Amino acid sequence: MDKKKENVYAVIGLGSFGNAVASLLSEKGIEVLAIDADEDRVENIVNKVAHAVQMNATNEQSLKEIGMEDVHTAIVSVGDDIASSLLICTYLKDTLKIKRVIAKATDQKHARVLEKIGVDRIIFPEYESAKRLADSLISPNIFDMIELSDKHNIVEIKASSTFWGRTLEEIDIRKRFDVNIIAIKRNVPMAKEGFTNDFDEITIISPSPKEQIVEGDVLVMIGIKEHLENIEKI
Amino acid sequence: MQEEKEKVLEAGSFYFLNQQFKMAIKIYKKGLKEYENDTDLLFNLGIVYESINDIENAKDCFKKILEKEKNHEQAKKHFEKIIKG
Repeated sequence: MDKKKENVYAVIGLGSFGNAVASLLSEKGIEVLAIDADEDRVENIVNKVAHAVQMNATNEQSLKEIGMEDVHTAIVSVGDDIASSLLICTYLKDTLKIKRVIAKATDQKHARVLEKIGVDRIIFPEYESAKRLADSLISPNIFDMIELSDKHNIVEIKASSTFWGRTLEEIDIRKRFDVNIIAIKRNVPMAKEGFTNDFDEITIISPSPKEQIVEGDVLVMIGIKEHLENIEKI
Repeated sequence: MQEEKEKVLEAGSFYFLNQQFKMAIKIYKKGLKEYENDTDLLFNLGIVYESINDIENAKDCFKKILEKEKNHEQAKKHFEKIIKG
């Protein structure tokens, strides 16, 4: 492998989360080195990634031997085995000087130690998907949400019926709610042979003020969290 | 009989294409009273619901189709898309 190429990633721990991350990265053209001590888990991914290695990643020498020093980003998803997770992350940061290390944490204590080791990003996949589910249940009109910072979000929200048939200029969301509509996702009706209904999914980027909202539109908005919450209440 | 159903499908599609979704829904629902669980009508109704992001009703329509015709490819495609969110 070439030295520290940006598209060379390692995924250590091939449980359901690690397997999914490694497969998705590989699908997007990333050169993935997938590692796990379990033979079956390695076998399951061998045809999906560039390199799959069965080894104990808590062995520092073994990590060096398989070329981990060339990896730009390492994802450590051995969250359930906290001792192994901490040991591997220490080797990756201190010895192998991996530029970016992302680790899965099981709880806050685990996360705090990972932070002290210098892990660049700590993730709680279960918590994050639970939060997403809870948000979607509480606010069913919100289709998706991306946290940009502590204060700002991007949300995809189903256009309120009070907006239907009105232009963006008439609704004047920016003035009323101090948020910006950056795109509109719309399903455009079409009919196929024999009067079979279908629709095209289109995205109108930076919509013009003259754009009219229609039933079913999803508005992609950016703004301060509290301001976006006000729109959800309409 | 078939001719009458064609008329319902045609009318529903007309309203759907003109973005008069409530009318399209009304037409298909009326048609389904006459032709109970007809998969063509259920599919078109499901598509109207899905296009306006009325996901629960869309899901019900595709589910009913699959209960009747488990190999209905289009219904399966839309149902799976909805379930996966």
